[in-house]
Amino acid sequence: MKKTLLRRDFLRATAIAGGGMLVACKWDSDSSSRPTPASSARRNDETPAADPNAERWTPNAFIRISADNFVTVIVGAAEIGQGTMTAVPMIVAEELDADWERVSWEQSEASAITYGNPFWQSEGGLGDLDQAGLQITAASTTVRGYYDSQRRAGAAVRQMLLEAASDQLNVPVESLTTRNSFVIHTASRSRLSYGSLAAAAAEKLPPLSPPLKDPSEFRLIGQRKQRLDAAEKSDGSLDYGFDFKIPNMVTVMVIRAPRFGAQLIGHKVGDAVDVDGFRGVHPIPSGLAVVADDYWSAEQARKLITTEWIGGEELSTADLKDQFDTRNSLPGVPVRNDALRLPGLPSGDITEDYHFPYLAHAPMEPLNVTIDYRGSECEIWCGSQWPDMDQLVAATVLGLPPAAVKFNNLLSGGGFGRRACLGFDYIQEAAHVARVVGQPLKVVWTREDDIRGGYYRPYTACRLSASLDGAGGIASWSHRVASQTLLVNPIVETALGQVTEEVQTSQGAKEMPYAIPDVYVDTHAISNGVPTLWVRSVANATNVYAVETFFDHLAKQAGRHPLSLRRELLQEKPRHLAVLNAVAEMANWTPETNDSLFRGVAVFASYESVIAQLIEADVEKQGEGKHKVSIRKVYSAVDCGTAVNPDLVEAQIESGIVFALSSILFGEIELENGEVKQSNFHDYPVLRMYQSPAMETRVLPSDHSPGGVGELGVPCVGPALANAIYAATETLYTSLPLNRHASLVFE
Amino acid sequence: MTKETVVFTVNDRVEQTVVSPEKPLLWVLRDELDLTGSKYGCGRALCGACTVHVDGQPTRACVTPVKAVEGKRVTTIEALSETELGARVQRAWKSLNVPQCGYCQSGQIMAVVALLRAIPKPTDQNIDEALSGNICRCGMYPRIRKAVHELAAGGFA
Ligand code: FES
Ligand code: FES
Repeated sequence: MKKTLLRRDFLRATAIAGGGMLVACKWDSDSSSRPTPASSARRNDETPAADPNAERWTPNAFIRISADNFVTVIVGAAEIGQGTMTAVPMIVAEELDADWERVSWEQSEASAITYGNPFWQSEGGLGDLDQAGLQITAASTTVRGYYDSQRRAGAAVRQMLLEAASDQLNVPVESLTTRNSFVIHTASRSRLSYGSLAAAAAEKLPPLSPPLKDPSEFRLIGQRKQRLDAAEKSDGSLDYGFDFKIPNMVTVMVIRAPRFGAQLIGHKVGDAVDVDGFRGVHPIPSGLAVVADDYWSAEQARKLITTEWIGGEELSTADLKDQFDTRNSLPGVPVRNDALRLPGLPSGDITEDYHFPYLAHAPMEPLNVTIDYRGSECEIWCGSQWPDMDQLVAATVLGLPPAAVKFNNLLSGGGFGRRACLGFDYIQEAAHVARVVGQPLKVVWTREDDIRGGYYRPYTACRLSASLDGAGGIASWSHRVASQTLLVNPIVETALGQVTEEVQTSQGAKEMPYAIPDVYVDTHAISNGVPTLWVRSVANATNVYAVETFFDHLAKQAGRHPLSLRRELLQEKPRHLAVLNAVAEMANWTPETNDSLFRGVAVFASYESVIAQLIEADVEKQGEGKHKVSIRKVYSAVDCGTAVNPDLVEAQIESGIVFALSSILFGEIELENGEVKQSNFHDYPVLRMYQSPAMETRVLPSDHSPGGVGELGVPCVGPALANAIYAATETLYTSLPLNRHASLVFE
Repeated sequence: MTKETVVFTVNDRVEQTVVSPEKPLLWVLRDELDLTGSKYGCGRALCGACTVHVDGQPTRACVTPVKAVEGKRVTTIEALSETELGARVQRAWKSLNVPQCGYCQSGQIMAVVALLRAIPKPTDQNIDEALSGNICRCGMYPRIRKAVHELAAGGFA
């Protein structure tokens, strides 16, 4: 997937007023402008020949050095809490040898061409974007996607600064070193600040392949640095989209369809006219836009307006189990077939059906879009995980060229995938509202709007089936997934053609890691009218739950300890084995352990990282076949390659554990005749402080290039807990959330 | 709807506002006084993102009619650094990398300051009781707990 070799990143430096420098980059935008071998050579040449493609370059900065020696790193990826605005600057500052105390971040503008994540480079079909990569923050790709290019950028600028210093001091470049934003000539005891050299350095030609540091020389990467955005996130001064105001702005709430896909056929404003601050209503494709002076007047008015709807999806989630199981009785599309079987019915002796509910993302900051549409141009402020696409979609709705839409990406109060919406619902809607309301506005979503707004993790059923080999091992394994497809429209399918690997329903099933001779995985893509979307860790969350709990079930039937059987079947997977052994050691768990606690473990690899998580629980028998479960501690052992900032890696893993427990214990969105039952945190509960267990996380040392961690902490938590419960009760819980099982009581 | 004049103190400034008396304090703070540090997360006293202090007591501004704070002293996150304890809590938040997305943190910090004022050395159970009304969807509970214990031990002075 990662095709770094395809990428041609050209740096270009410009002097800025007041003596600083701006380093811009431009991807080679089409094959005709790619440098011929001669021009490539020229780039390595000392002669600063004029660039024939110069007019094609746009000055989009990604490193700025000011005359007073401050470095600003302009970050293309979105900050949704994961630490982007710290990790990416650390990578640049490392190779630049910048003084970390004088490094700051800035969110880039929306531009896939300039700021796209190299991870998402495409194999073709997307024109300019093939080389650039999408500007999407998803699939735990920020650090692993930007790592190489940001290191090279930092190193190249350092090289240019060295050359400028060599001119100025009249000494050879080789005699110079750098440290903390200074170029140092030891022999003459000269120190020149980057800021003072920046203007001259801007005249230098950026080297195409600057030397990179050996990891042993790292001074920043691997350090537990404080987040660069910690201060404004601790004193209330950071403006999220919800807080952002522009002059003359009105507030809009939308009455959306009570059933997905229903059409508005009438409305009565009624007593809303008496609400102070209410300004009027406008039908738009997604419903009825209620315009008012501020949040409260919009909310008051909306309550008093009645609407009438026709059609829409009338599904009840209670019916889905049978529907999906029926599909799973039929062969699906094979995605893995190790023993080259005839596609057909999985034929193990032990079979289990699993069922997973719809889930809402429920980011802490509900969705909102501030938009100022002025006929021939438009400006948008919004926290987005996919700014370039949101910009394009808004432009399409408004009938403007994308360049006429300025998209300001704001830091988000959480995302978990909701802010990279494949249906582009909130941005399309805001653009539609802007077309009919002739003034600047903010569309705000209440928590109820958010929980009822769709784009859920899809309902999923898995059928797992296996046979034992009679000698303590597993002979065959099959896993069938029936889930709703996420690829909801052709644009998305084209844009993400090469990504389907990542989002399709088999993720986490196909990669089942254990050495079993006959493994077969197939899938059914089901469609209905409920809009679905990726939620943190996507299909891994469901498939890994099924894989890892079924594994313990099989181990039990085979008379094996789950830890020993895992070790045996992971012999060929050294990274899996290492995290498994590490987590067992952390929890002091061996197959011989015999105490009053119950333990469950699960292992998982994705995003170029590997994790094992182990849960220790008290499980107490109560009357009427019930068990009381309390989680003592969650242990995690992580191999994510180079951990750019281990403290933020740990924070992500812990965050993943809490996110996972919320869904495993009580996460469920239900529909009844098409209407969503849940609405706010009382009926869609998420984990709270008193339910948050103790955690211990170990990041294993590694020199490999970085892997992703944003989603890594999620998938193993559920099966680790279910396996601990299984160890105590011998009951395999095959449907989530666990609190729906009357036999379990959580404490 | 009839409006009334409501007088109260926000961050040591006397505010006089003409509003409908049932308008929640949160929207008076955010939309009229431009104090947007207190956040909206649920509007129903379920998440704690809007926590402010009213006469020193942690209060959910989203369900508190502005009339109810008539003549009272409201403190929001914006003024918290002016107290020694508030500044310490903020230092702890920064050095322990407590915020992720940060959206819940105004409310968390207001709740923590109120807790430490009431119980300078809270137990885990005190923490559970005082902070379980504040949701952190990013799941930073272990760090918040750690920060509270370190603050109670005199850290970040
Ligand atoms: S917004 Fe007030 S408690 Fe959630
Ligand atoms: S830091 Fe994101 S919700 Fe708490």
